[in-house]
Amino acid sequence: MMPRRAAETGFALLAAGFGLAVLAGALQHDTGWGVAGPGAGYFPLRIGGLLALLGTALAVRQALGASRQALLGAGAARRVAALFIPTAVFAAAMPWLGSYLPMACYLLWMARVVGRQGWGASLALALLAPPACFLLFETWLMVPLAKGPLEEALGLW
Amino acid sequence: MVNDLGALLHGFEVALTLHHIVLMFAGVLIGILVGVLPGLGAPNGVALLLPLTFAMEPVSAIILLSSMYWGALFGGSTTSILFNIPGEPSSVATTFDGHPMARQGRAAEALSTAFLSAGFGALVGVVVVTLIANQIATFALRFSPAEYFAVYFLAFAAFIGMGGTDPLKTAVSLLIGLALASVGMDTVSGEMRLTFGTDVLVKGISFLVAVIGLFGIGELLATVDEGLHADAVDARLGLRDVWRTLLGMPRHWVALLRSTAIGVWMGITPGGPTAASFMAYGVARRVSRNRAKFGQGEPEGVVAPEAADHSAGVAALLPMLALGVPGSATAAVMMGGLMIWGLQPGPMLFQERPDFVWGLIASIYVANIVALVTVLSTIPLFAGIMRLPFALLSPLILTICLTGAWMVSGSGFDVALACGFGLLGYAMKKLDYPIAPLVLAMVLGDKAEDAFRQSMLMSQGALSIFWANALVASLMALALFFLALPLLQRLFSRRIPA
Repeated sequence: MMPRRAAETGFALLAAGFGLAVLAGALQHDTGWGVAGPGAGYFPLRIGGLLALLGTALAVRQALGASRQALLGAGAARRVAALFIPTAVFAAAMPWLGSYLPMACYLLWMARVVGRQGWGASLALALLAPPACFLLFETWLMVPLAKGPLEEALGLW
Repeated sequence: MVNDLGALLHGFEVALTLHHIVLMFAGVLIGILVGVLPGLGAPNGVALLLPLTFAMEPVSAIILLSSMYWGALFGGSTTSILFNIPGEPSSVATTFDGHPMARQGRAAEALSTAFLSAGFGALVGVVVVTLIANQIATFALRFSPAEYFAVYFLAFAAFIGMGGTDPLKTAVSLLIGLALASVGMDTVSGEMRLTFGTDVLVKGISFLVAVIGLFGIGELLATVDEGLHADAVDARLGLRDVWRTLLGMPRHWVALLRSTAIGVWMGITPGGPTAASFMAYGVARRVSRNRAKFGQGEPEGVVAPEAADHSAGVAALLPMLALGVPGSATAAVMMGGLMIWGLQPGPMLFQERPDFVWGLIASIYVANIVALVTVLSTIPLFAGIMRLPFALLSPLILTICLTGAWMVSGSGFDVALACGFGLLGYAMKKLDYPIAPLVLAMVLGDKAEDAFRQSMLMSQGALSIFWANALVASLMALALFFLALPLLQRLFSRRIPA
């Protein structure tokens, strides 16, 4: 699906772009000699510049030389997306809904829908993991996890 | 030297308390679990555990974390042998001969060979640390900021020249790490750098979040991409198998010593355990008397990477303690921990906190024995975990990763950032960019920059300060040599076609 050459070139260009962004950020500061020696932008300017340079060189080399074979097949891409997208949704929901409710929904979805496990195993995972996390982290190790409206309603906060 | 032995004995007093031995067992057990599970490796295992140690005594915390590291090193080779799935990147080379041995019904022999070689490597590694760490630290007391910058530069250059990966890609990975390290408040001027006007970036990008994303989420995405082919072999390990292998170990003494030497070297110069295990395996395959049988279940093909892996893992702590330059990704995370606990890694640590340094060194001896015993007795149990469906394991591992990212500072932005780093890690793994240099650069970036700026201040902006005396000049020359090494190798191999 995606040829290696395109991916290699693209990634190197992204790295070069990041280098340019760092360079631009550094230019907002003193990039030369300040009151206390080299200014705040001195180091980032050079790091960013070097990264932009090496990234571009790498992109050119990959565009000319990297293999054209497929790097990522359709099946693999689907598997990765099926794992990553729900995880990203879980991550995005955590600050709003707390850790526990999204965790249960995420585990149920991953086990039942993505993993095609039976209802029994899926529900067991989704219903047992959040309380286990609560006992482990909040009660035993005293590290608070994210809380949302549900925890507030239950008075757990 | 005699003083060191006295200090070591005092270290044993610190390490051998009941509290610390319990911590060692806990660390080793968590470590084996982390090593066995794909997607959870030593660097992000340490990163996940670190927020839980903020309230602990530093010496207790480091004993817990380092014990976890030893456990993870042992656990990683277990899955390589039994399932052909390396639990850690540094145990990939163990699959080459370890898994064929297991398939031939010699799983017990392969496992005990791996554990005993690893134990030997760890022992030699810690003896080297004991003997020379203080010497190096004492020597380094003379370092001025210029020498420090040269040492950091040398560490970065060693990755590029000797990491065994594409030098240009290694350099890009390093530079991304250095750039990320400079985000947030500048330590010298107090200016906000690269925050682009946002509030969330003011405190900088936590290397813990980066490690959890890069090694945890990224690794898991890569595992799913490749499709997990667990090729399970039964794990039963009796005392008699271990005994028989132990009696046979002297046969491999050449491979054992050679691989350990490679490991110690690669651990001290930051090549890290992964490069060490591949290099030791490669050398063994080239020079061994049994080289024809490599790849088909040759015990020496297990001895070599395992001894190198563990000796490198232990030796990587030496430059971290003595110079403040970690020799592996995991050591880099631990060093970040040291700084969070308020300790300054480097030569002064030996003067100011001898109890911490020698307690840690003594604990390496004890914890590796604990780890060896634990791993030998619990392998069937941990191998059972791998029989759980991956569809249940992978979301659980990801839940742990995201929860860990939240725990770093209780911020939703960190959790999102971990996902972003997950994608980055996956892309880097797919495209053969090494991840360890990025982590090392994130941890060392600020220190390298400070050393550079202080040097420039001392010299009024003259770069000649990096050539001002024999010490700094030879460090810089060695670093430049490492940087030029890929080019030299190219010229050399063109002239003499292999």
